[in-house]
Amino acid sequence: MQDFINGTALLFGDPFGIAIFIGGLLGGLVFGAIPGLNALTLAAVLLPFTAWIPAEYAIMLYGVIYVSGVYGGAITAILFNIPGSVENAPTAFDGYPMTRNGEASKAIGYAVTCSAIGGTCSAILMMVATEPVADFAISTFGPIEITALIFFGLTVVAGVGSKSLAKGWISLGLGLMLGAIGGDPVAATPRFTFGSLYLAGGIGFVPLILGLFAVSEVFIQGRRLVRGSYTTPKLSVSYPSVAEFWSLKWAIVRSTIIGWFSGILPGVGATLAAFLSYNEAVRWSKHPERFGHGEPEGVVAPETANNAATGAAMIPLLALGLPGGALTAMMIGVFNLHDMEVGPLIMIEAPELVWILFASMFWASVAILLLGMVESKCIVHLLRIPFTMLAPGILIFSMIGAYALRGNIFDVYTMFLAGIAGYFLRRSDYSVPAIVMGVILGQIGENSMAQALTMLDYSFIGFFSEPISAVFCGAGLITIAWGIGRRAYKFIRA
Amino acid sequence: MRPGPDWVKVEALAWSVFIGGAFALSLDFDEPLRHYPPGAALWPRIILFGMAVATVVLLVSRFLPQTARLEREQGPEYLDEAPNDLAGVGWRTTAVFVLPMLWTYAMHQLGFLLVTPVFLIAFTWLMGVRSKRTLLLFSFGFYALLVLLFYKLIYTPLPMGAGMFHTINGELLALIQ
Repeated sequence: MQDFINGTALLFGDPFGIAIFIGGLLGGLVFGAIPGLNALTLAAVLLPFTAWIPAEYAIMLYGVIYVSGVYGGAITAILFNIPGSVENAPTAFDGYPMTRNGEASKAIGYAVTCSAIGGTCSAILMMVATEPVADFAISTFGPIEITALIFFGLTVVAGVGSKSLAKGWISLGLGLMLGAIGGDPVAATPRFTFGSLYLAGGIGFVPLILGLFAVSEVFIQGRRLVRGSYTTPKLSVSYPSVAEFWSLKWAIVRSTIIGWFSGILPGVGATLAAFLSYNEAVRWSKHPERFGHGEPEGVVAPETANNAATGAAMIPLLALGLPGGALTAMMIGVFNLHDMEVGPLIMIEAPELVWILFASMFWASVAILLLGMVESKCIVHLLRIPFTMLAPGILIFSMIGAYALRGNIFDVYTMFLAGIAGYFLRRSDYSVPAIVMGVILGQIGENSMAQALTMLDYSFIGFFSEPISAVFCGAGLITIAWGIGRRAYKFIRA
Repeated sequence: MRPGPDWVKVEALAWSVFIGGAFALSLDFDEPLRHYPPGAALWPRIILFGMAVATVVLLVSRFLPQTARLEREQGPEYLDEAPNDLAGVGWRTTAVFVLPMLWTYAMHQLGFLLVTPVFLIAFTWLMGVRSKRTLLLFSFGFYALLVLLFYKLIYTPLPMGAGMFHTINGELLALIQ
């Protein structure tokens, strides 16, 4: 506790520290909300400049950007169906339908409060359990367990966003196939590339997500506008009540745990945390059919989990020197710029630096809550802009988001093609969430599966020989059987 | 509005072509790899197998009488219009899809700075804004905001056009910055 107080005093005891804290907070919020220009872009731009500021403030800045950037993308996902970053994509699944149902303010309220809860809990856990948890997680979770975990996650995805189980599975398959385009993870053998250099690198997540969500939405609403059947979303300014939050307490606890453990695992991080947490929310819900149509739990689960992953990602970084993702890898760069090395000795050699980081991430989560409460009352008024003017704006911001990441015009074509495909798929009740989850989980899953199969002597039965993996695989098979059984029961009764 | 079984046949046929085509393409990379004997085709083929099973289920379930009864209870599977309902597809609806693609192509050739104001005016008009004053005020106001944000504040690289348009855009950019 004394260390935390010292870290807080160091953070707020110097006007320069306060300025960096506020700058990082606002920068992360703004960059997180602009598609294609996520917190990672800001972190990359700032990296060279960190050499001129004290090490403890430089590291603190990155911690704050990480926390606020993960939250920032939720706002555009909820209001306009444009996820600011990949980890905010599942927030759009139910956040945007809530906006269409006139509950935008509530959805933002859920997102901000749960981001703050997830981030705060994660920061507290990070302070008390860095070393033992890092040892356990990293020694227990290898490629076999991660493959099984992803298989378990995929089995739920098919049930999300479509009334037909078969169409849900087809959507998931389509997403997995899109994720398989490009080099394979073992020898980079080109697959489905038709000799194109662009396809050899695989289809980018960002253009695909922008196309399937934002552009297809403009097409759907644009067509309704042209045909005179467009309805303006209702506008209400109301924050969720304590009773509403209380009814979601288990979802928040579950998502915090999922987010935290995902954050610890190197290479897994906030994106998988958000998707897995959404899947679990569907799996545990008494009304899974409501997901994809404006279910508050669909906003609460990913937003709690992706912020819970931020604090946890510091554990392998500080305890073992293992970065969990691109932003934590940049933090190693910041340490190096100041002639420091991360690893177990950092807690002994530079405790003030570690504690200012912990304190800043904790206070950034608290600040998000305060800022977000104001934001949820103000920012919903953006919905007053007529769709006639919003539509070209959404298309231009999406185009910039798709192009700016790699400076490749084909990403923009991909986005518009994904938008047209998304339009027809959504109209025919195929599940866009399942496609997106298929792309993201598939790429991580194939990589882990290849490593796991090599370790298991190319036997799929081997997944049942390791206890943790066997539990996940068994749970996945039960989920498939449960989904089919439930559907068959409905058929028999009909 | 429930689409007839014929539409489901079209969907099933489309997925069958997709699955068959992808399987045929996977023959190009189905050799065992030196450090990974299952090869690069294993993963896509597992997925294609799953998709094939789901397509058969989709087709079969559509013809069961229970599906129609379930839809009556739970509401239609499709959105407000059936996917094969092409009535009222006029040139404006088509333009909603085509204009963004044309804009992308023109932007690649002529640059973001030159083409975007035209796109803004055209798409806003297409969405139903008819007042010339509103069209011009909104389009140029929004364009100015974009230029300020992306060129002056965060220096985002955007398409510069090809040939002489690259030079023109470069000159314009130098003026702005």
